[in-house]
Amino acid sequence: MRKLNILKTILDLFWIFSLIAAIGIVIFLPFYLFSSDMDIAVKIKGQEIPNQNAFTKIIVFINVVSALIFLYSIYLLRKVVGLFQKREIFKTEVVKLFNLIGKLIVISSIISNVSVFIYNMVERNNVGLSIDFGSYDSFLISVSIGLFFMVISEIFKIAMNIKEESELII
Amino acid sequence: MPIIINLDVMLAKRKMRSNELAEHVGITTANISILKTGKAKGIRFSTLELICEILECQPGDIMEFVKE
Repeated sequence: MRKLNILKTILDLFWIFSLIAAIGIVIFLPFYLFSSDMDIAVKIKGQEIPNQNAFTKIIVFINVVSALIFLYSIYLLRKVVGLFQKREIFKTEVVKLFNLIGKLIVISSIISNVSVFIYNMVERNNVGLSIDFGSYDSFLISVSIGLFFMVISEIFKIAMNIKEESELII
Repeated sequence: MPIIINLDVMLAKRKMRSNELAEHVGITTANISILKTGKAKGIRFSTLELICEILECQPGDIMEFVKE
């Protein structure tokens, strides 16, 4: 269970730092969205967004929502790891949480990538799809991770039923 | 399930209590209760062997097949 403790520590650290950043962004976001004279360089997925018109502000807002959804999935993952530490493994709550985490990661990834795709199409007249090779930041990888969590949820459901049956074998 | 457990009938015939049987077999009274109420999904041969030995009966005396 040492690996579980390491995982919990890493998730806790990531959660705390991300939460601080998220609070900052949530406080700053209304000023960015509703003020016209703010000249701040905003980067989404490594791309600088120079023109701050209504459209780019909507794109930034959508990406912030996507990031918050991702952050919530990390919070839920911490919760699952916490349950594992309490030896609560094959429980309905774990199955539900894994499924929810998977859905949130897929939704967050789709929202973020579709908005960046639309931004590139409208603002840069650049319609194209790229597959990042050898990177964890790829759209396909993030969707796959989400789907993997959903598969894990199904596997845990099967394991839970087998455990219940084995407990009823005298 | 079409397999009916008649353990309580056999216990009554032998004038034995569930907890006594549980003690002899080495399982909990909760498990004996699961067996008696028909909630059990299965029974190990080793458990069946001990129950038959203690109650001096055959497996067919404590369980029967009834078509649904």
